[in-house]
Amino acid sequence: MRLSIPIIVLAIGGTAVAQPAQDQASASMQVYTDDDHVTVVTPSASADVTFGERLAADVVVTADVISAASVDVITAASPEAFRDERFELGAGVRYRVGETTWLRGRMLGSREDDFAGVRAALGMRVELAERNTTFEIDYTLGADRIGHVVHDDFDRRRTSSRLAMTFTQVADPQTLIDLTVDGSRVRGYQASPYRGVLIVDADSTELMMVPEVTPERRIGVAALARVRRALGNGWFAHADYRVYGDDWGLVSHTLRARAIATLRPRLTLGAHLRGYVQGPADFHQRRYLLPAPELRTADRALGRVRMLYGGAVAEVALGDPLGDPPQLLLMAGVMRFWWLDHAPQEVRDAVVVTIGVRTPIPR
Amino acid sequence: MPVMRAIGLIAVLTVASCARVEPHRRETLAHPAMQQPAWPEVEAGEQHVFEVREGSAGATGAAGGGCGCD
Repeated sequence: MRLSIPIIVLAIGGTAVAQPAQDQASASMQVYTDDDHVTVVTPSASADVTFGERLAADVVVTADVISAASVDVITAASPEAFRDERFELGAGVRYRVGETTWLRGRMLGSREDDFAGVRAALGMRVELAERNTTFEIDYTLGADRIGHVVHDDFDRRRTSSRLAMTFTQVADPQTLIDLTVDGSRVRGYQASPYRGVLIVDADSTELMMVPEVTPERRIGVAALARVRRALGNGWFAHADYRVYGDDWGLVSHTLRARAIATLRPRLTLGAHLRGYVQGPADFHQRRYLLPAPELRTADRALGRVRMLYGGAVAEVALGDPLGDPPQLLLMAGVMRFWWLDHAPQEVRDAVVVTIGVRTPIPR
Repeated sequence: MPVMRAIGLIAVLTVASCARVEPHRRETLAHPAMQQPAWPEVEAGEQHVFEVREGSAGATGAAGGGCGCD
């Protein structure tokens, strides 16, 4: 958790992923590495199975193995490099009510040496207007327990709730429009036990380190608009814009665009661009002076952030495309983060590579 | 909140401007490349990287493709 406190705060958004038309299993391995000596290896496996006409279930298992000698860790958390592991297990069920309505539920648990979290979600999906309109709503409750790898008596809690509504409309035979609104409320400990804030005494220029303190409550709203369009000759394009704001004063804007080309029956390629701009939380400052303010943070993610990402995906059919063969997935992306208020390292470059396999499950 | 009003307005205009498309004309919408996310197996980890390193999250999902295929 030392590098990733909000790891599953809102991660149960996975309840809204597309429902596969058939039973299938998948496995993937992702490797993230950056120029701050952080490497994260993430194996994952999932299965999605239907039981008769109305019932379906899925399970997802994910692990993270993190090795880091990060400047963030060295300066703000522990005095040396560390290795950490995260294990996450999720399971969901979907039940069809009538012809056009699904009810669904999902549980997700995540555990690290110094962190444990659980999420429970209930949702509904309804197809309206002769299936030209799809509406989804999901409500998620969560609870986290935050510990410390050195201080065994450190024990903090937080709870979260989230309501997400998604509306998808068929605009014409080639175009879909998505609108999503997502509100979240988190209560409890939201700082990092490893992060201190430097306070400067303006008279003596003496420095002192004090614990980070953030508000006990955070309420945020995110909204997204997306267009998905078939361009013809096997080409497709997706574009979306997301805006986020919360009562900590943090506002962000995200633009994404994707092009997908089915060049041959066995080969599909995709290219993906993403840009992100974020303003700081109200109480975030690059440096603090005595007397120390009641709210204070050195969290780079609560300051000014910029991010650019470019990636590519290749999907290759491992057999006759008409025979529903297994699919090989290859993804590679490069990204640059600017944490403009984070003195130890304002710019970071990272690479993410993923290899995966998706295969139908024979009945 | 201005953002919420804008989203509501877009939703109303979207519904009002869309003609109904018959099921036999939705074949293209059922194509895997029209799904969101297109590759959930590899995109979940990518999204996780963003959420850990940025200060905001949420509103990344999408409903079905309108194909009536499930």
